[in-house]
Amino acid sequence: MYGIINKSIQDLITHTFGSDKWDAVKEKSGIDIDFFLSNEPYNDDITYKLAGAASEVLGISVGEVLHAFGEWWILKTGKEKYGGLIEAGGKNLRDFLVNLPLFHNRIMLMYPKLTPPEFKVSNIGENSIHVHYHSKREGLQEFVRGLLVGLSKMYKVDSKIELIQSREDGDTHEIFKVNW
Amino acid sequence: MGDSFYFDDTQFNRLFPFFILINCDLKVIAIGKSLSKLIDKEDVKQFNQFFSIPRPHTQINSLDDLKALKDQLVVLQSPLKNNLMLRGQFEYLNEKDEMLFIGSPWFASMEQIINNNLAIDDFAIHDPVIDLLHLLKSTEITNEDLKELISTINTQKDNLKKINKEVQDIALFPEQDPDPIIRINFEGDLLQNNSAAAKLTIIEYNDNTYNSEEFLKLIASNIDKNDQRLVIESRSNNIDYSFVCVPIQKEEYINIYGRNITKQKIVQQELENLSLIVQETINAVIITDAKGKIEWVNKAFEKMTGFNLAESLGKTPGSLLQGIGSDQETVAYMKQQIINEKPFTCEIFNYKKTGEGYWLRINGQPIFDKHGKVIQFFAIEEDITFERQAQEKIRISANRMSSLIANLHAGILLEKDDRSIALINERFCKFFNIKTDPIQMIDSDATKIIDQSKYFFSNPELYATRIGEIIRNKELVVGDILELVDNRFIERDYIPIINDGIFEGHLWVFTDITEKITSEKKLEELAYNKQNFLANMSHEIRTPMNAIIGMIQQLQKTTLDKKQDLYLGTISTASQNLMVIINEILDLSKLEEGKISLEKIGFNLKSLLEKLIMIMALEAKNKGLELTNSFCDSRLHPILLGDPYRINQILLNLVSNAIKFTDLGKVDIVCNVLEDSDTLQQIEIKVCDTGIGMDQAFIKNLFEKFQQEDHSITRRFGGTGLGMNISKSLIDLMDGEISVESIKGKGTVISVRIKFHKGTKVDLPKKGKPFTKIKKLNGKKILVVDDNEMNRLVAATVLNQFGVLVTEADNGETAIKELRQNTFDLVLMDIKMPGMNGYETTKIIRNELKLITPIIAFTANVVKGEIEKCLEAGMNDYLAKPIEKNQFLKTIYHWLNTSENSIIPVAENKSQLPLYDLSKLEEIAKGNKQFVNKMVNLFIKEAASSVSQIKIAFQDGDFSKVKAIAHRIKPSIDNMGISSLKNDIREIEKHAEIYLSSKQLDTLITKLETKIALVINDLKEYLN
Repeated sequence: MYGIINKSIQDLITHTFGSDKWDAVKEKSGIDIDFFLSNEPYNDDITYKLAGAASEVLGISVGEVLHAFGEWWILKTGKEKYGGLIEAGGKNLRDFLVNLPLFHNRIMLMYPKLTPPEFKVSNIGENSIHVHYHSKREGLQEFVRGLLVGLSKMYKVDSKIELIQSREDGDTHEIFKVNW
Repeated sequence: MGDSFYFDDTQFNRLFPFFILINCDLKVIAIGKSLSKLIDKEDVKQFNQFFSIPRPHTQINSLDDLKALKDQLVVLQSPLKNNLMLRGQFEYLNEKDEMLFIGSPWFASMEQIINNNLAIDDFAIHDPVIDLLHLLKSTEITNEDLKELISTINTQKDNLKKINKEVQDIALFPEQDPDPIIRINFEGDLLQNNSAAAKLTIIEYNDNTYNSEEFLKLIASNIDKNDQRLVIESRSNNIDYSFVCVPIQKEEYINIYGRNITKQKIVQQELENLSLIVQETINAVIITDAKGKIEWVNKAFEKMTGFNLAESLGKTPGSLLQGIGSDQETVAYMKQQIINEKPFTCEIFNYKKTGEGYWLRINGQPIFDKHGKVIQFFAIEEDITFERQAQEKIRISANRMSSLIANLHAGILLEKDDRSIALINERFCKFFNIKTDPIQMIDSDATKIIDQSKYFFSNPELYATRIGEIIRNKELVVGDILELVDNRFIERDYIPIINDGIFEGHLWVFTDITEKITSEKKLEELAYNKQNFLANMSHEIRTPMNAIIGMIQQLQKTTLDKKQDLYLGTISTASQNLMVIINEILDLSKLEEGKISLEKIGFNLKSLLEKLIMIMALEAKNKGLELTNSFCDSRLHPILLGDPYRINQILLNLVSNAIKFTDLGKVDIVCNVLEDSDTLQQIEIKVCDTGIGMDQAFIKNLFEKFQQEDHSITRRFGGTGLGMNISKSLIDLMDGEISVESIKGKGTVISVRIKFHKGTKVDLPKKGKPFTKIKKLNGKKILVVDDNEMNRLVAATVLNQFGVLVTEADNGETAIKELRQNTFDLVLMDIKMPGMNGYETTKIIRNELKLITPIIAFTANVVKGEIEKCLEAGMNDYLAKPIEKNQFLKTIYHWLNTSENSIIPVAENKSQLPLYDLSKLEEIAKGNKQFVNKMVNLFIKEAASSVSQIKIAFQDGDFSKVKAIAHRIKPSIDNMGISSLKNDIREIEKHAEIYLSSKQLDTLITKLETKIALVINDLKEYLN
């Protein structure tokens, strides 16, 4: 994953729990990278290790770490770092989610070394949508959920996100049903 | 291609959502759906009113202007819409004569898109604007990352620098450490060390020597890698090190931290030594906590007190050791000092565990920590019981001594060499009326005492000078007799204190001899009086006796009838007997006074015995007794030296007694020679009788005075009872022995044993021939001076017989008057006369009248000393009363005809007084001949000088000086035993200022000079 992801994790932990905790997480993860360059690709392993270490150090589950990170990505990284890129995805949650596949596909071209997941949407209703999450990476569902929660918070809507399908259950991909 | 494409609005908007269609009039016909979100179509009626073309800068006046922009990148800008920019291109639609602009809004950032209410779906999917903006943003992000990275790097660089510095410092730190720091691996190989470690080439450890490599390997092999540390002490380059070896398991190396413990070791050793000393010292050592409770005691304490450490712990020394006899004030003092955190020293009586008491000297002090707080007390205790006992003994002894000195009859002044007082007693202070306490005078200046005391003497300066002289000379002076102005006499002794040849001080001893002097004077007076009495008695008795016997003799020459003859004979016998008694009494007195001197002339003992028998034969015959000399040893030397008169007296007494006390039988004299040598014979004369004998008890007291066996003897036999006493005394004087054997009723044997020197004919006295030179006296004028008429009569009668013209004077004044008026050839001078006595009269005759007429002492006092006095007075000779006619005439004849009429003649057979007598000095010297010689030399030197000074002073009329000098040399004269000057020097001293320039003083000084000269002469010979 690109460095921005790891950086974002660093920011999240640092901002939320303090730099000492981040040091501890890094120490725990065994990752000896002092600085994550945002537009530099890094091994996925690093992200997983960071998440795992964060879970251990912070005493929360990996899912919770990922969920927190998902939200953070939208609300902080996307909004502040990318200067409204996320907001440019749509004027409201529905629009954004509808535009999400297009959005994510554009990103794929931006970051050639990125192997971003593919999002599709279906069952587009006025107040609900199904978000299909296709990724070769495993275990990041909670991250996606976090993203969706973050988006809901960004667009100031109360949403309910439900994982209605998962690879863990033998399905091909994750489907999140988003109601708002 | 050739085919045209047709798009409906929806498609065209999907493809080009920001198109602008412009007619030939430059009116905007249509705009794209998304553009309509940016601008209101109604606002964009006229294209060139709404938009400008900044790039390429084109004035839009007509459609043609727009046509000209075909194939160019065109940037449209709307000043009316916040300078909204569109980027695209124009295409001319021929058919409609319209210009189509297709493009996209140009935004600088994603925020502008949002701010313009656009979203991603407002752009054609193929439109890369969003992506470009995203890219732009990514670039921004990257730039920011880079900036952040640079900042981080800078920070890290700074940190690195700091760390480097720190590391350097840290790295230097061990390097700067003067102690060795070493790092080795587990095999003992050196990994790192500092300079100090590098210097350790040879290391001594456990009595072995290693090089550094070996030593490190040794450590590696000995260390337990699992253990925390190993500590080794070793020595290198004369420095003691402690190496702390710490294995770091994780790193697989061992850090070795060396520390220089040389000083520590020294201190440790010292501490060990001290500890040993403290432990082994004979003095008790106690350490208590801050409250005084015992924490530790040494062996000496245990031994001293009997309490061991366990018993003592936690207790205070006081509670353990003090008791009834412990002085409470001392206890309180110690407590107070402890409370005040101050050191203390005291002596106290303590008790051992056994209850036995002992004296203790304690030295205690607090021990402070580095903050100044008392943490412990430390005390050293010394058993001083013995010392105390010794001190007590010394104190008692000192008190005794002090009391002794204080109460000494003598005044003591002990000066140190610097003249400060070391010791002075009360007696001394009393002598000189010093009121100060003697103890307070110690260390004060002794010269002040001299100043104070000199005024007690009539010549203070002389006194002071003399002391100065003595001090300077630093020589023993003994027996200085000082007369104080208050008539006290003090004898002063000076003893220089010399210790190992080093002079240390002066000891003055003053003894008040006033009583002694007074007694001596009294004794002298008494003796003088006694002698006087003796002389008087002798004179008073002999004078009339002289007359009686003289008259008897004269009468006997006349014609007498039988009765007169008988009466005269009786008177003669009686007077002779009386004379015997008188003589006995006088002899006894003389013997007691030591006034009898024995002759030493040659005599024949056998003849003496024969004469004795002849004399006593009649008396024996009258009693019907036999008187014999049955044996006379043939070895008897014909001439023996002795006093035949006294021997005769003794034997007469013995024989007379024998005859007296024998009624029947005989009296026999036996003479034996007991010892016979070349020069001596011891003779034994036994007088044996068959008389009444004596009780043994009486024999014991036989020789006592006035001894008669009982009163009946006195009545029967008469006598004074003095005879045996006199005989014994005379025999003792001859160094002989007398012994008595007697059996009551059977008889008595009295044995006399005397040693005599053998003599020759030369020693025999010339027989007194009768005076024949009668004519030589004829016409001579003799003045007879005697207050007694009878004596004058006797003398005159005898002299008249020889034609001498006799003038009589009954006293000294008359004699002088006569001598002034008349010339005489000779003067017979009685001594004892009322008023001016014979001496005084003679002195006047000699000194005032300046007559050299021979003066013969006419005296009944023929005793030792009296004769010397006569000679000293200026008389030429003496004659005894009663007159022995032959001797009387001979003597007178001698002086009438002699050419040497010196003032101080030496009379015949008279013994001369010795010039000096060193016995007193010798007694003081106690065999130290050197001392005696030194004193003699001193006398020779000083006496001559003193005499010279006296003469000068006399000539100068300085009579006080004369007195002073006389006073000064008086002790020397006494010490040298110059008896002949003893009185004269005192005479000078006492009367110099009275006699002044009189002849008397002159004479005395002249005599002093002459005598001193003679003495000095003799002394010089003595020294040689």
